[in-house]
Amino acid sequence: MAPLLEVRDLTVTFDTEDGLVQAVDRVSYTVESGKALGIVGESGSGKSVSSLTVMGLTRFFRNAQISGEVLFEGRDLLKASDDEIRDLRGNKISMIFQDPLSSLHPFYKIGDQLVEAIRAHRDVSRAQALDRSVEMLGLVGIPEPRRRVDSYPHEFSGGMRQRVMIAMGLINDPKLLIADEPTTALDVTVQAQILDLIERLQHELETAIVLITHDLGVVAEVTDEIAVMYAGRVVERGAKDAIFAAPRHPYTWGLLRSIPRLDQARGDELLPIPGRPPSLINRPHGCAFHPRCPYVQPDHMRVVPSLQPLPDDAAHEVACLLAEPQRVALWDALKAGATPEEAREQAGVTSAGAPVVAEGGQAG
Amino acid sequence: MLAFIIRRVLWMVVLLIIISFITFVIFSVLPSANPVLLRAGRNASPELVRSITKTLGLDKPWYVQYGKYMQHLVLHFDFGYSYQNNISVRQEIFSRMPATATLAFGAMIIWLLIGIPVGIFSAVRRGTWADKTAMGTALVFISAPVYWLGLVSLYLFSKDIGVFPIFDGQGTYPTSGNIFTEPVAVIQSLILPWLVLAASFAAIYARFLRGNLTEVLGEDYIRTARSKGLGERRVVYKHGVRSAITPIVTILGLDLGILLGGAILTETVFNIPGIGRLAFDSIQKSDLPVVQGTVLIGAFFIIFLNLIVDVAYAFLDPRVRY
Amino acid sequence: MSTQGANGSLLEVRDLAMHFPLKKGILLQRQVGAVRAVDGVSFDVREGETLGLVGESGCGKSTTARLITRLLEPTAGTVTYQGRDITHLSRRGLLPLRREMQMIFQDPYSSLNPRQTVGSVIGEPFRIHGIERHEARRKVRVQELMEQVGLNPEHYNRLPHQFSGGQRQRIGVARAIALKPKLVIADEPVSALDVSIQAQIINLLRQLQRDLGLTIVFIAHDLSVVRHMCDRVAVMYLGKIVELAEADELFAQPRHPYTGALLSAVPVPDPQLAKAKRRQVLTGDVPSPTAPPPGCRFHTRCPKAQGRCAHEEPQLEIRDGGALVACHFPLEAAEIEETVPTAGA
Repeated sequence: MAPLLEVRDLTVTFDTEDGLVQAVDRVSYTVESGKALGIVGESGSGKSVSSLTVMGLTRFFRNAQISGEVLFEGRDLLKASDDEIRDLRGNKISMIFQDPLSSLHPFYKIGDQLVEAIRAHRDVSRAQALDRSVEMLGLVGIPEPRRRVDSYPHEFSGGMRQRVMIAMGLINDPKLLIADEPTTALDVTVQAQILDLIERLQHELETAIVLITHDLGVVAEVTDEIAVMYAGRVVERGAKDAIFAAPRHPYTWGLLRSIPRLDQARGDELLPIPGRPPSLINRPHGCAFHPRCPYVQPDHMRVVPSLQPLPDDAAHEVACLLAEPQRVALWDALKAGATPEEAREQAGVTSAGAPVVAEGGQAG
Repeated sequence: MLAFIIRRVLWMVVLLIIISFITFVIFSVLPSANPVLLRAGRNASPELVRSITKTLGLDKPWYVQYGKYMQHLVLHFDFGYSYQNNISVRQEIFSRMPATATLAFGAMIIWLLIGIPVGIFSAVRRGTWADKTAMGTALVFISAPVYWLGLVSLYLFSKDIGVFPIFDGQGTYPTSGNIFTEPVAVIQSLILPWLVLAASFAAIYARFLRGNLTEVLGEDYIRTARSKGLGERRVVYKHGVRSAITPIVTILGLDLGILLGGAILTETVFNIPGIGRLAFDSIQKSDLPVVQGTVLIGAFFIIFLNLIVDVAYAFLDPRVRY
Repeated sequence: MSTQGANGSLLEVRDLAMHFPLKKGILLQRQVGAVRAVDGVSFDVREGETLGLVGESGCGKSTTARLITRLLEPTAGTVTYQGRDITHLSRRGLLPLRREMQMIFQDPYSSLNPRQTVGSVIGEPFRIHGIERHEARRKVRVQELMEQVGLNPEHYNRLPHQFSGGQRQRIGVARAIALKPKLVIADEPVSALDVSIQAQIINLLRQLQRDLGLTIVFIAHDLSVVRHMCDRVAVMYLGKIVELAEADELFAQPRHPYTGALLSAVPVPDPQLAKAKRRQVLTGDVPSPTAPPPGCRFHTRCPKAQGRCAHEEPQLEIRDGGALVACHFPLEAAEIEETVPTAGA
């Protein structure tokens, strides 16, 4: 069955005063109907820009150059006209954002904002649209929806506002919902409620989801597949279980080893990734991660790695020039608690120009 | 909200009292001229001067004069009588209100009709030549002093002396009658003054709205509106302009308040019998009761419109609650 | 010479409260209520330890931080530093204390003056307290500090916008430790940073603590980070402390239902574990701090609440294991096992 969304070699570049910002570089991923894809990355990884481009929202930036293909239900959205893509936005494909307070218009009641979302795509009366809005508010767990439909955004708490955003995103029964850091701005108990809600709705309404986040914990809970992005490129991609059980990219290892985790022993030293996120204007040559990679080899600084499937799992792809056996050995060592240097020794990987991984590393 | 309004009204009364006091002190201590001598004329005898001084009550100490003034004002709404020609100040001011009000409101309508669309246009087409031209022109009009603009416009367009005689010139405002009794004459006489007065305001409002709207269009809720699939027109107007216009309401109230107290320069250049002209003349002659009257009326309008604007804000922005 | 409080503590806080008044009225504004941001908080900070203050938005942890450093004056209660009551000291009285108590702030983007060079920012504490008046010597000290926190000393004359978020946070740290304080209050120092940078700053703080013998009060909402950094942890809810325990104890055996819910809510990057544990999801929202619920403040959302909880406010009491808990019906082992991923870790 053809995937619902297929992004192929998407490239987005912004022409700014400081230079050409290569926000997204030949990114490819797919989303199956009814499934959830998690896009993991930090700031500057391109995770948000790629989704904004799927929605056609990057077109509003005059200095953006977009190439590649974004196939939604077989149709290339990049070639669609402004009107065609506007037809899909908020209708077949919806997006919700990080900060629900600033994402809702402060001057209009939420009922009005929901009704507007419906009537942009459906020929119904205001009363009918209002009924549907009340129904959606109830579905997302807002108490007394008939009364609260007359409230303004600032009269809700953060968690409630995000529920309103979710209601607005799902109100026209989209096939795909993109959630860009939906819980980052929320308290942890509220985050749990919202993630629960998203998961539940995904199964009830069979909506496909793209969940963008920097939090590996969030991704472990809600998604089926994961794509890890770094410096505008996808560096690792595959089923969630496969990626957590057997990650194969040094950046993914770095992420997993640098976050303090509730399920690991308390005293372990954190292993930060040395250095800092790269500039998207002067992206490092070759593998974008090489300045920060403890296992870098000379040709990694020249050759750009492309996503290659693993020998024993075609669905799991990695963009790394290290040989598979070496990667397996390195991760085994790291998983057992070794530092990158120790892992290098154990795996027999030479340290050709690896950055100094001293305490704290190079200032970042 | 009611408590808020009551508080503000009480505060307004206090302010007006303070203002009247300060004006009084200024003119007592630093008069621009001696009203008695002006009234008496040249070669006045000392007896005449003394008698006029006594008639006008200027021989009493200043606090007695002030006390009497306030007494008349509060109890009888009596603003006193002009030192120059004995006309009741209240009558003088109210007879001139229509001219000032017509000038102010007319200009306001024009500057809003020009300034707002230009501001929106520039914001939406930010960075293009159209935008740069519009804002450049606006800058010219902001920089040009209104009296200069007034004189230039008379020179160019006034029917009697202008290069292209199309509009009525100065002093053509009907001596008796106002916008309701003689609409055609009034309107014809005010076209040039309206345009001149509106010019710099339109420019300011255009620039201001452009700045506001540009900022608003970068907000997250605009992104949400677009992601709902709304047409760009609706996004810009219903979501963008609606937010960007609220600060405009604030400054509109303030500007209107100031103009209702008399656009002195414009009224002088075009010889319009308004409160501004009255204020100007009376200051020169140290005609204190008239000065007081115009100052108080001007202050009243500013404070009152300030209050209206603040209350309006609560209706425009639901986050604001008093 | 270190004068300590009665039980070896550097800082003692007793019944601390901060009520921000709400006023209404026509002419004379009467106080009609208050935002009870901090409402009766007591704890000690022992010399050399890292004490964590956790809670969600509105729990009062940031306000507590400002109260201890006397950036705010409490409306009730006492703050005692090294045996001295500093609750109502004037600004002048507090000045010498500022050498010993420093704060690191959350947002590295807005907490630095954009027009002040890095050298000037880090050198400011010296200038304020009249130390190292000689400019050249001060510069040397500042550059030493820059190296200590992992910044390049050659960047002495650069402005904040030329640094990344993580580097700016290092600048803030350098400024805080410039005069070798005894106590550092870190208010959400890593929340605004990227994940891969957080670890660098956390490691830096731990290193500095070892090198300088600092006592740290660490405020955060991210429990994983707190667990990693802190020796003891206090959990706050609506202006009160609901649980205070050694970190090992708290994370392995949380006793207060709120602590349990917090821990249960943290998403863990392990899909197998995520599937195995049943998540404890709290219903409803945090009540307003202007009208906290009667009795136990948490009872409106507590899965274990019973009649007594609505009338009688529980006090902090010691339970077996040494933890201080304010609850009538603390969590049982079985409940913890089911919902908390760190149980037994």
